This record gives sequence, C-alpha cells and structure tokens, in this order.
Amino acid sequence: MAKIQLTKYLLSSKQIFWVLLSVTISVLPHLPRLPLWFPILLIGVILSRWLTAIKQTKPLPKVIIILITLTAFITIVYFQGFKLNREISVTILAAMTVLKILETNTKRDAWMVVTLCYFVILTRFFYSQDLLLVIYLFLSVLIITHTLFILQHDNKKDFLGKRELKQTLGLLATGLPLAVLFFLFFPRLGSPIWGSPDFFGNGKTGIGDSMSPGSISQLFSDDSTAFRATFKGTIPNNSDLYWRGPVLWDFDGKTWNTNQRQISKKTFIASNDTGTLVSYEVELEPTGQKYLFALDYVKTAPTGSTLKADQQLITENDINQLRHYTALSQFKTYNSNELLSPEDFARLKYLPPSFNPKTKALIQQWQRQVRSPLELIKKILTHFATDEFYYSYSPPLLMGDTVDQFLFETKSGFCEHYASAFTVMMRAAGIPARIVTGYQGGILNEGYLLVKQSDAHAWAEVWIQNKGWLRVDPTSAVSPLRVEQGSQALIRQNSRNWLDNSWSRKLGERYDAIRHNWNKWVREYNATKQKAIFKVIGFDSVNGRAIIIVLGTIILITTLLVLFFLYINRPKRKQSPYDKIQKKFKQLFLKHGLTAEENLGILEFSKKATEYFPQSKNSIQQFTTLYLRLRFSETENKQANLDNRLLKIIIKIKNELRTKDIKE
Amino acid sequence: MNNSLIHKAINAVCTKLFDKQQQVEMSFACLLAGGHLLIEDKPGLGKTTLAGAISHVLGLTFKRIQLTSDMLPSDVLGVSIFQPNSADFKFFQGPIFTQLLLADELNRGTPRTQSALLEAMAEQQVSIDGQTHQLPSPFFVIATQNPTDDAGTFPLPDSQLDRFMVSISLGYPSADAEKKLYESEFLNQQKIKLPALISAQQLNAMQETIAKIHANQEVKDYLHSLVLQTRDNKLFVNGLSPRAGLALFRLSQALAYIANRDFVIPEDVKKAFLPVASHRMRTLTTQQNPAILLKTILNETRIP
Repeated sequence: MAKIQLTKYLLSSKQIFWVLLSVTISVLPHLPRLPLWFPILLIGVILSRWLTAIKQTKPLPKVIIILITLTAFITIVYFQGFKLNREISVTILAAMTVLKILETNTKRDAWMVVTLCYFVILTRFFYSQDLLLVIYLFLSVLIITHTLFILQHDNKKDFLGKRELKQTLGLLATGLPLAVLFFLFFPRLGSPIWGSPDFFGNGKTGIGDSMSPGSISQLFSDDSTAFRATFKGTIPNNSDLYWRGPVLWDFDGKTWNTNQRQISKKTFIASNDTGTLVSYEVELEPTGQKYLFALDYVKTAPTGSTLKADQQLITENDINQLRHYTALSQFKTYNSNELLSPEDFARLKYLPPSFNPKTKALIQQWQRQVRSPLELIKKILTHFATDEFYYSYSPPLLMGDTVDQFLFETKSGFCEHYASAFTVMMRAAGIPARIVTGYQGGILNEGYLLVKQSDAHAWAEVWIQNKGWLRVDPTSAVSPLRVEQGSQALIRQNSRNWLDNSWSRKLGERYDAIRHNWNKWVREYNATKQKAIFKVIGFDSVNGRAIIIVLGTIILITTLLVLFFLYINRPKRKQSPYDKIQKKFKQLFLKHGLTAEENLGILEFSKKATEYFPQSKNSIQQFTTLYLRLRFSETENKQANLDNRLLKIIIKIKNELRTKDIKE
Repeated sequence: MNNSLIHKAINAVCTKLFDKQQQVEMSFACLLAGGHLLIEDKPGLGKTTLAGAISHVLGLTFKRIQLTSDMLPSDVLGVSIFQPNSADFKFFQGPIFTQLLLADELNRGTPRTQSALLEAMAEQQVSIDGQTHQLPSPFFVIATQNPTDDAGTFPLPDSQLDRFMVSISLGYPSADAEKKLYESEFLNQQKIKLPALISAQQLNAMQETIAKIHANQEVKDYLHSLVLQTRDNKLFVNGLSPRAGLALFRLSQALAYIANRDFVIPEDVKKAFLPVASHRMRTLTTQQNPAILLKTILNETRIP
C-alpha cells in the first residue's frame, strides 16, 4: 500500500508546468528591483526542473540543492548586507521560493511552493499599490489558485474548461467580501510606507532640474499622467494654469540649471497682494525628484514641503510614491515677496561671455529704441509673433550658439527654445530674468484636471524694478493656442505619430479616471477615513477592543455563512429506501461493537455479523436473503411491503441483541 | 433452479485441492460463463492438479500440451500428411481437438505457437491448408503460466491475455491444509481419478440458465462504474475493454448461479472484478501493482 500512497502524491508534468508558471508569474514583478543574477537563477531553475519533468530523470541530489541554496543565501547577504530589513527579506523569500522548485517532487511540496507564491505576490504591495500592479496581481492570484485546483484534480484531462475556471473564479469570489471587510476594518498605519523607487509603470521621464533644447519637447509625445488636480470651486481658465516646478537660474550657453545655492527662508518679504485665491488638491505621480507642482503663486506650502524664495516647492525626500497635497494659490501679475541680494541680481543677469554674439548685438540695437524694460519685452514678443517663427515639437538640432542659431536661422522651436531665447535676450539687455519650468494647462477629465507629461512647459520670469517678478510666456506670442486652450488643442490639430488619435487619447483618459478613483478610494484609505467608518458603526475610537469586536464579528459571520452554504450545497447522495434500510441494519451491529470497513457489501457484512453474533444467525440470514431478493431480483414486487417485512426483521434482531446484552 | 450438480462437482474437486474453495469456485464460474481460464502461479502449487481435476469431473474429453520453445503450431493444431495410397493429404488432428485443453506453461511457447493456440480459442475453429476444422463444443482452455520464471519465456501480449476470461492464482495452502498433504490417506486419495459428474449436455443446459440470470439497473451501473474507473485512472496504460466488461458481467452471472440465485447482486460483481481485471491491466511504471490499484478502486466505489 505504501507504494500507492506515494504515487498518489506524485506530480504529473502538467501539474509541474502550472507550478512553474505560478512561481514565474509571482516573481516576475519583483525582477526589476531584484539583483541582476536573479533572472538567471529563475530561468536556470525552471529549465532544469522542466527538463527533469519531461525526461523523467532523477531530481538533483540533495547535496547540490543545499549547495545552491547556500550560495544564493550568501550572495544575497553579501550584496545586500546582513540586516533584517524589508529589502533583504523579500529577496530571500523570492529566492527560496524559486529554489524550492528544485525539490518539488510530491504534491505536498507543490502545495507549499504555490502557497509561498501568494506571499511573494503580497510582498509586491510593499513597493506599490498602483492600479496596474493590482490588476496584474489579481490575474496572477487567479493563476495560482487555479494551480491549487489543478493539484487537487489528478484525473482531469481538461484544465482550462469552463467548469474548471468557474470553480476557481468562484473560490476567489467567495474570498472577495472578506477581503473588502478586512480592508475596511483592519488596523491601518497612520502614514504610508515610503519605499524605494518603483519600477512598475513608473520611473518615467518628467520635468527635471535642468533644461536644454529638446528636453521639454520630447515630453510632448508622452501622454502619461504627471498629476491630477481637484479644485474646490470652478477650474480657472487654461491661460491661468501655470503649474510651477523647478526654477532655472544658471545658464551655461546651452543648459539651464536650478539655483544650487541655498536660499534661506528669510529672503521672503511680506506682501499684501490682492488677487483671486484658489484652493486645490493635487495627486502627483511618482517623479523620483523633490519638486511639487503648484499654481503660480503659492500662498502656503503644503505639509511636508518647503516653499523656497523663488517659489519652488521642495519636499524632504524623493517622491517615489503617489503624493497627495493640498495647496492654496493666488493669481497675481507681479510677485514681489522675494528679496534679492546683489549676488542674486548678478546671477540673474549673467550670460556666458563669448556665446551668442548676434543676439547680444540685436538687443543692444533694440535697447536704444525703447525706453523701458516693458517696452523691450513687448518688442521681443512682437518680433516672435510677426517674424516667421514656428512652434514645433520636433525642431532642428541646435549646436554652439544655440540662441543665435534659433533666432536667426532655424526660427522653429518648442516652448523651451522661446523661453530660453527670451531670457537670454533679457539678460543681454541687463534685465534680471530666469526660466520657470512646469506644466501649463491640463484637461478636464471626469471632474478633475488631468495634467499629462505632454503639458510640460517652460516660460520666463522678468524682474521689473519696484514691482517684482513678471511672468512672460513667449510661447503665447508664437502659438496663442498652446496657452489659451492647452497642448491638447495642438495635438488635436496635428497628431504626433500614427498611433495618436482621439480614440486612443480618450481611452487613456478614461483609464486615468479609473486610476484616480482607485487612488482616491483605495490607496488613500487611511487611518482617518477608517476612524470615520468606525464611527458610523458606533465606535468612537479605533482601539484594540473595537478592532477585536469588529474583526471577530466579521470572521464569525463569514464562518457561519460558509457553513450555511456548505450545508445547503452538501453533496446529496441519492439514497434509495434500500440504502436507508441497509444502513439501519448495519447500524444495529455497529452499535453493539462490531467494527467493519465502510464499503462492505451486505453479504460480506452479514457474514462478519454472524461471526460476532451467532445467536442472531437465522435472523441475519433471513434479512439478507430477503433484502437481496427485494432489491435485485426480477420477480419480486419492488415496493410492496418493503419496509414492513425488513423492518420487522430488524426489530427482531434488535431484541435478540438486547437480550444478549442483558444476559451478559 | 437447481445447482446441486455444480456444487457436487466443486466439492469433488476440493477433495483434491484443500483449502482452495474460492479458486475452485471461480474456475467453475469461468467455465460456466464460457470463458477460458488462466492460472498464474509459482510451480508446485497445484495448478495442474486443479486443471486435471476439473476436466475429470466435467466428463469432457481432455488433452494436455506442455508448451516449449521448440514447439510448432502444427504440434498444437494438427498436420496434413500425404497419403501415398490415396495420393491425397489427410489431416491428423492435433491435441487442440478436445473439449478441455490444458496448456501448461503457456509462456514457454514461441509467439507463433501461442498465437495459433489463442486464435483457435477465440474462433473455436482451426484453419489449416485452406480447410476449416470446427473444434468440439464445449471448448475450454485452461492455461497455466509461471510469472516469476523469466528466462526463456515469451510473455503474452495484452491482446492475447484479453482472450482469457479469468485469471486466478492459487497461493500457498494454509498450515493445516499443507500438513494434511503429508498424510498417507491423502496420497492414496490423490491417485483415485475423479468420476465424471457433469455431462456436456448438462453443462450446456447450465450455461443457458446462466445467460438468463437477471441483473437489474443498479447492478449494471455498479459494474459499469468499476469499468469506467479503470479507464479514468491515469496510472493504468489502458482501461478495461468492452469485451472485458462483458466478461465481468458473464462471470458475475455464473457466480450468482453458483450462489443459487437467479439474480446478480453487486457483491457478485465485486467478487468477479479482480479475476477478470487483474491480468488485463498494465501499469505505466513497474513500481505499481495493478492488483493493488484495482483493490483501491473496489474499496473506493460505493457498493449499492
């Protein structure tokens, strides 16, 4: 018998395939953050196990498996350091799950590996709760659960039939309500877990802390979301939506850079500007940088960030997770609450000495014609508007004196070309100026403002004596459409590539709306919101007692429900009256101490019963003969007197057995 | 229905073979069901004794062949020999022309000889030199083979084994029965040839009765579910064929007859299952014993 027991727990190659698939699928989303040797390990282990399965060769010797495992463990510890943190724990879990495949020979092993897969999948949520990831993980849970199903059913020929899949889906669906309730009521951390950069659909390009020709125009073809903004009141006009990001002070002739010098908070001066206040909530996708984006000009800094004197919002840590913040901004023409030192002015007027001589000459010529900086600005903008300048997201490459080339030769550029040229011209005239990068505009998408990477923009700021900073957007002179109606208007006019059409854009926007809701309802479900729910059901504070009561109730109700459905759907064996009476007959003897295997025919059973209770020999034989005759013969009238006659004998035997007991 | 005759025969055979009531009953059931019998066991356990005793009791013409590797089909079937007087070929019947044939050590014969014999078993006729010779009726073959003795044997392929309705193995006798063998009284008795108790006509009549024995739907369902399970179990190379299913049914009927019933009960089927199935089943790996797997099937199928 021992041999059969063993074969019963052996795995077929189909089952092994599904186990391998489960492991691959659960480890896959971890790969970008796992060490480089990990994919090699994964592929090697899977190939070796698969070969063993196909060729039915012997599994690797224990010694080799132990050696491989030790090597993997030491490698992990060597490269990631010996400390008990999340990184190393997840790496070890993933590595050991993969290595366990090597010694997966019986069903018990397979169950273990597949169960481990659930944990591997779970750990992925430490790093991201993005919707895309959640969808992927749901699918992998489906596959893993189906693997469990396949491990249970040896003899099934078709593993992907409708009925089989339905069973797995049903299993998952049963768990769903419990998952939702636990999501709502399980104790939550007060703050989100901050993690390392995430690679799942993120790590995208975006606005950075430097700008050179081409760095923003390349974003124009990127329709992924930069951030979403929800306004308290009405959404301002598109031409007012200047989302301020990094402010670029330093120019080396080609590239603009942020002010690396620390600007202390004290350089703020109080101002009593009047202007429309606008309050909004921003949901910023991970950027890997420290900049927050807010409308010009920020009144108060969101929590967790600092407002620099040049109106940049800087956070303490890199933004590697979805970031939420509320901001208050005020629209005004001049921003005067920045105190500039003489060095600052020097930096704001600085140009590399030998670059762009033509531009410098042109400005010196124009300076003689105008009386004030404002007039010069107007003249330059008019020049952009009237001369043959083009707004293009794929302008020719510029080399050397980029501004000269742009102004006098190519005359075609994206916002960064115009902003850069304009600022250089201002500085050439000795007027302090700098570049601001960020986003401009956004589209209304199901109640919120969706700002895409393609909305990236650059504009200039000019310091006007006694008034403050004035925002000048030279792009508006060349392409008023861009500023008044947003980049989407441009895209509608000219598609960027063959994939670019309104249908695909609509789809992307629809998807973004779903993500937004996901973020809003799931990822941002925090302790505060949980407290509100607890309040609704009558607990004023979320303490241990409340949690135990609520979770206990959930578990109790779920268990009762499961038991109820199990009871309702219990397998109903078709029990004929004969089966019932046979059971009754057998029960008589079992009660009096007879032990017999369950699946014994009535003849065999009677034989055994006669051995133990010889005094009832005649009655037993009488019953058996009559029973068999009634049930299986052709001649007997089936139903007539069935219960009566057999029951009478049963009662007789009952009495006989009882008298025997009394005698003893 | 009167089956006292068959019980008399069974009891008579049992005097020659102690403690083997079940196997003797099964052998008779097989013959009553019109099937051929295969006895698989080690040497010296009474295979030939059993076959001989049955042939004597049945009062059938009996012949015996001992298969060896140099035996030719003509040694079994017969041969046509040229007659110089009449300038003609005359057919001399081989040992197969008998009502009961004992083929000893079947797996020692060459495949050619085995095949000739087994063809005859299936067709109940012999074709030689374009002439067809009808075999007598009833026609039974009792074959023995020694499964452990591999050297110089030609194991029968599955398709040939399928021609045997039942396979039994005798096994060692119990201690008491074995000691009885040493007694001189028994040895004397062994020398006495059993009288013929059943005639060929009586046998035919019994077979007719058995064919009419009733099996209701429940019994048929049970039988069929057993057959299906041998097909669904992936550890077997093949499941039971419909022919095997029919054999199982016929054998169950014969067992019911021996138990003096005019209807089949599930326990007849249960009893008949292993003898019918165990020699027909092959497992994918040699580690598994088909008989044990079949027993698991029996245990796991609910008997009505």
